Amino acid sequence: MLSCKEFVEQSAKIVDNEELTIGQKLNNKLHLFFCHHCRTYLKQAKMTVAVANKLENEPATAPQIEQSIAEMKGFSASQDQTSEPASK
Amino acid sequence: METIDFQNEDVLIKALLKNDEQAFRYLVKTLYSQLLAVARAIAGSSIADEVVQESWISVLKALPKFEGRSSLKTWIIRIVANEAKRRLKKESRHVSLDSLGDDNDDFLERFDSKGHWIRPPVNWDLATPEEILEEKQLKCCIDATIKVLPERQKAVFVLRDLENHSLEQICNILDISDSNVRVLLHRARHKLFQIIEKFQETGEC
Repeated sequence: MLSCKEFVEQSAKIVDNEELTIGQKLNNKLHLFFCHHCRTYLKQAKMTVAVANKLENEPATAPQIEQSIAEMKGFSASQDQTSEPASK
Repeated sequence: METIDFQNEDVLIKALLKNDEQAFRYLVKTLYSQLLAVARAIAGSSIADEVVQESWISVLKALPKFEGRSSLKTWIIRIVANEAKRRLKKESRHVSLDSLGDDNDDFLERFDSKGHWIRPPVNWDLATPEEILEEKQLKCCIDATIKVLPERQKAVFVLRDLENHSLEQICNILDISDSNVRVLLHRARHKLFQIIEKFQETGEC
């Protein structure tokens, strides 16, 4: 039977709903049947990912945004200049 | 003022091609953090901002040729990743694995040599993600924990759990193996797990 450490190490596949072999599924089920600590762990590992899925990225700072926009505007202005003679 | 639906990718692309400043702003606000996480994971913190800034021009230059084989977001992330790799190569820089976050998973210290729990998980009173995130102090601790994750762990965690990219996409973006992506993700999630657990046990973090 899997040890608790082995179960925890490969539990991400269960958390992420990845396809498991029949052998892996049986080993996991057998372990979970006998081990309430790992049942608790699995429930809370799933909860942790559900929490993470609800988080939002740290917002960019105002200088990061403004500098990026300045780069883009600078590029588009340079494109406008190079395309002007052709349009005349 | 007219509201433009930039969440619609076609609308956003058309506006970007017309050099619409509102579209630039939307794109930057939506993507900056994840692009920065990718650039940091590949090239290190010191030049990551510069890499992202320089990539905007590459994005605009290449946009007329965008074929829509992936989402615009994924396509831009790839441009930033390539720019970060190019900069790293150009400057012959070496980014140490330590600075990128190959630290140990201290969660595994909770087992004895036979793999049995020494410190098993405790039951959590807060039973839903909403309840967990409504606890202001805990939410601050979660945000702070993510902020200081080592660079590669953070990039993998952000791309997978916040932005829902597949493991395969993450391997390609960051140029790391499937098993390494899994290890980094598992470590980041364990840090979050332990922060939530500590708060549930002690009421502080």
